[in-house]
Amino acid sequence: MKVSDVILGPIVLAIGLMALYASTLQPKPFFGSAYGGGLFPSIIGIALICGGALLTLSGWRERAGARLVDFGSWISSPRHIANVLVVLGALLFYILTSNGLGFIISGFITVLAPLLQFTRAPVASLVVAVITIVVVKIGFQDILLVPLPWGLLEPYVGVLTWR
Amino acid sequence: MEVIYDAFLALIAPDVLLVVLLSAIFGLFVGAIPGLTATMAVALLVPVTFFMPPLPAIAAIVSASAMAIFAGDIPSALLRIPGTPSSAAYTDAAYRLTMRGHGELVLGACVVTSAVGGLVGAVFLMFFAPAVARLALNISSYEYFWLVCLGLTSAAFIAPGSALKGMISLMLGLLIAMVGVFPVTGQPRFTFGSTALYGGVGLVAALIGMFAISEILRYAMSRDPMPTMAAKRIGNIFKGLMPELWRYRRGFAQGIVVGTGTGPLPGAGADIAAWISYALARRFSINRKEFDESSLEGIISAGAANNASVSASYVPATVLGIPGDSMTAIVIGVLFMKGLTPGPAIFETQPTLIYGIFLSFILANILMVPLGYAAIKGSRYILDVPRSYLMPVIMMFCIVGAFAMDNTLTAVVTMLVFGVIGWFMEENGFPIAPALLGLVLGRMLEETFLTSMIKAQGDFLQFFSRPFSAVLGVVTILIWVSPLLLMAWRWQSRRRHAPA
Repeated sequence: MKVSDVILGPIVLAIGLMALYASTLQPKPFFGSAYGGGLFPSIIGIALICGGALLTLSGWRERAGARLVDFGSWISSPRHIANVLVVLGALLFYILTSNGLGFIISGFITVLAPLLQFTRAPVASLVVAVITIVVVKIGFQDILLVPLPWGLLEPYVGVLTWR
Repeated sequence: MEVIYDAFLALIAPDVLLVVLLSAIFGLFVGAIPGLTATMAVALLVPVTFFMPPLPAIAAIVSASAMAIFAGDIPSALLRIPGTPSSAAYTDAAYRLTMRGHGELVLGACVVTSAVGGLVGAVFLMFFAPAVARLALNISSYEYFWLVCLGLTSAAFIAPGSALKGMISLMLGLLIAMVGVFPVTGQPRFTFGSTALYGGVGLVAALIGMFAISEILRYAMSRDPMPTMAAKRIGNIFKGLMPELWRYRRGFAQGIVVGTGTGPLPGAGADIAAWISYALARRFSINRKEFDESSLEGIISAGAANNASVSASYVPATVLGIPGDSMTAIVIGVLFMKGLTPGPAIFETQPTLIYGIFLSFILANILMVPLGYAAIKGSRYILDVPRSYLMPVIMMFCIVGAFAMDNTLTAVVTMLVFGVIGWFMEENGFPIAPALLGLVLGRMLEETFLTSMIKAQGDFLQFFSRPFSAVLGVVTILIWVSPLLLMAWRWQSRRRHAPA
């Protein structure tokens, strides 16, 4: 997705303005010197404002021939739009459900959905998803002791792990 | 010398050796698959190294990165797709030779030049870094401040694409680094009321997002099918290699020198070393027509340069704690996580560790020849692994890897957000490396500035009071104003040449 500098420039400029404004909310200097927590953000803010302005200017000069937003060829293919949505959706699904459903169930769905979408091979996808979850579970949960959430499977913890 | 011996003993402990071997195989695999970069290999490795002692952790990163940079050459020669950006300089040349039936020779040259380049870079690192450290022991926070500024500035200016976008990328990274508790007063800053952000934005989660999730998104959108392999059967890659290497010894040596020279420069990563070296080899080749058509010279020169630069880039990273590229930025992040502060003092406090890291480069580059040989032999199978299966699996490892850093879902959210940001920036020509460097060095920049200011009691001129810091300061400021000077000069000359 290519966005013209005419649009990106003002966005950068706006981020700079926000940083500059937010820096003024920081508590004032300490020890009588003139430098507090707002100093660096304000410098960065000013730099971003200048950068955004320059970017807008150069985008404006080259505006001829360039589209404002160019999504790329994937936007015209329903399959590729679905690809992107499935990847983002799977990540969001994991973030929202892993605490409730637990890593094993939630993670399994998270890895299975894009596998099915990319390969369209249900059996192979299922096998790969199961292997992935088992490897991650043993590697991270049992060996490296990462406290991945158990969720719904909490009552079966004793059966599902040797620790 | 005794230190080196101790470090050697620490490195050849069976568990450390096993870690090095496994991460080398991992690096080869990731590097060889187009679309998975060396930086991604390292980013995915970090959560695992989090659970290791410092030496195996860094040794794992070292061997994975060295292998991945070499392995990027394999799909270059066979598919005409660089496995990692640092192979891009000579992808066309390598593929052309493979199409003419010289695939073995190209791959053999790649593995040997990579190993030798990396080894020379590592020896340089071993002897040069302590010398720099001795000098660096005398520097104060003033010089440090300027060095960090200089590093960040060159990172933004040297980055591929426009310098303006590099600068904006750097500033965005610095802005994100400001999130968290302000170290001097202990007050929260830009945390939006969320306690999860008090410790700042999770570096590893951001890293995995920018380098792995963005790559998965790009894959999901890509409509280009994988090309077929140029050579199905690969014979003896070392046959007839020595005479060719000897024939192009000048290019070979030049590549090593360029790689070792550019490695320590901030902002110049392995890809830039390869580009410069390839261009130089072409410039100085005796027969430029032959060079363009079918010569190994450029491949030998650039193949040595990118690996030499990987080794040499650890000089500023370990001695000063200033990373030159994204990979060393990650290493510095890992050292910080282990409670170790890279800097000249690390040679006094952790000599075994630091020499262990240097020796791990030598080990990795020696391992490169047999493992690289095996990878080339098995390349048919590696390149045949369908990415449609690989990408979802990698995504799962990204999620768990990010989660493992602080055991909260915030890290997974951070990863997702940075994945989208990283993808968007790359699509629009904003280089990612300056943002990452800003994120890693932002805090240090602010702290050295504030410490210096407290020391100087608010007198900014103190930043120029010592000879070395004055020189550094003037150079940095000159680089800052150089675009303005250039613009003014162009404007002047245009006015002069304009018809009256």
